[in-house]
Amino acid sequence: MESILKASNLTKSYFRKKGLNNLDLEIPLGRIVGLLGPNGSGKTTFIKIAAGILRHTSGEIKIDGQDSGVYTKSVVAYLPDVNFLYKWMKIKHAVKFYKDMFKDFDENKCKELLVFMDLDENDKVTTLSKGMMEKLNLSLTLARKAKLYILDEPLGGVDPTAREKILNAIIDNCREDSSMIVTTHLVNDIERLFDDVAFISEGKIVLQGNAEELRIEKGKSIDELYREVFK
Amino acid sequence: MLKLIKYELIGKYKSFGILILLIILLNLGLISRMNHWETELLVMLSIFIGMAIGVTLLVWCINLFAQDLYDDKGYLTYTLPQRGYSILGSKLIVSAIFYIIAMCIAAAFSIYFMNNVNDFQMSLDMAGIKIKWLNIAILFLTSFVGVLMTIYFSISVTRLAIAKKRMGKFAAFIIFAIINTIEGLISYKIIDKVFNHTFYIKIFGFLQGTNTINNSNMDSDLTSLIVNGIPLNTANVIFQVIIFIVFFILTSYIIEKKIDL
Repeated sequence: MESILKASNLTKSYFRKKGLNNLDLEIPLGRIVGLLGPNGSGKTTFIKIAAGILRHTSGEIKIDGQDSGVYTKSVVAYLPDVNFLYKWMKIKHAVKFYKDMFKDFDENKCKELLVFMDLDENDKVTTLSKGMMEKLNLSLTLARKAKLYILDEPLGGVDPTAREKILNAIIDNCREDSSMIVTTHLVNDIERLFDDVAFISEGKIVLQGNAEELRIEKGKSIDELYREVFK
Repeated sequence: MLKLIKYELIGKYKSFGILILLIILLNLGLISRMNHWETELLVMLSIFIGMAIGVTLLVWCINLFAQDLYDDKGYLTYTLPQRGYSILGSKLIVSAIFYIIAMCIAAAFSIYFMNNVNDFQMSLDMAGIKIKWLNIAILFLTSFVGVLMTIYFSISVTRLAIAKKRMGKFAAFIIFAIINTIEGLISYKIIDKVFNHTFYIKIFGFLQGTNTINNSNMDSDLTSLIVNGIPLNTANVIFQVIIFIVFFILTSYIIEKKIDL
């Protein structure tokens, strides 16, 4: 199967500490991959490298066969776990900004998603609650026709009602010609989403495979497996 | 790059508008004191307002670049499919636009006050001298953009090693001071001494038939400044242009390929 992302021996060192330690991971096209691990396991470090805003120390990472750069940024839709939109923006400005900056951005789809998420285009981004902000960021990210979506903790700090909406939006907007990496430690809420899972600990992938096969093989849900791996 | 410029302008026009309003209000305040205070004092205060706004604008333009490297908004700016030189170029162009507008308004008020100093205007008229404001503006603008480029380079180099905002900004200031010292030493100790070809930027023009200065009380430096203009060492100017280009390329490379957010 064609892969959209391939990381080999990927290492990120911070002085004495290693954020990633010879990590190997391949993301096939058309799959939703859960990158699961506790805080400090290296999830965010890995996806920042994949998004092109963090440099690896050694090893290799290719996205759509290319090194990190302008091209990879044009095919990767990244949802960070911070409020990254400019503070002066209203929602409608953010939509316009994405339309101007990303060739693959579908404005109509974004507007549909905003309606689905109950967001008003005239609201200022600084007045939005954590949950609303997450819904807005996700709408902008999913409205791109990217080859790889990277969602960092899309459910972090979001109430259960908003969680359901976010999960439904992700499921409804998955495409066969794209892949998705979702990092989380709220495994129970999100595990129905995953085709594949990769467990990351101390900067290394310690277990990975097809989510359904792992459930059958181990006789456990992904959440139970997660608790076992990281107990 | 045009789109980046557009959004930088949209994002900053309100706070820039406040700054412009401040220049206008402060100068209008001075105008209201015209028959109460000495005109020379008003000229001085008006120039001081211009200088204070210039410094404020410099700090503001530094933040235009630094915020993307130290704040969360960098997650948006640096995940855009844009080359480093586009991002950097947009910041410099927006800074130059703001500087030109603010300085034009501040200068217009200062000129207004100067024109009200009878002696000053009369002396210029009698000597047939006209001030070349455009040349002065170009000198100020190139210095502003040059300083800004060195600061941007210092910030980006520092950001490679220090991620913490406060520490990073302090270290960037140290790097900036070191670069300026080295640059100054090369300029004045080596280039000025080895290459002595000089050209002049005229800041005063002469009306026809009045292109001689006959005031024997003027010292020779002032006479030369009025007649010839500001002397610039040709090699030094080329050196500064090269430094600007090198810093631009290096900063573009750093923000595109080396920054860790």
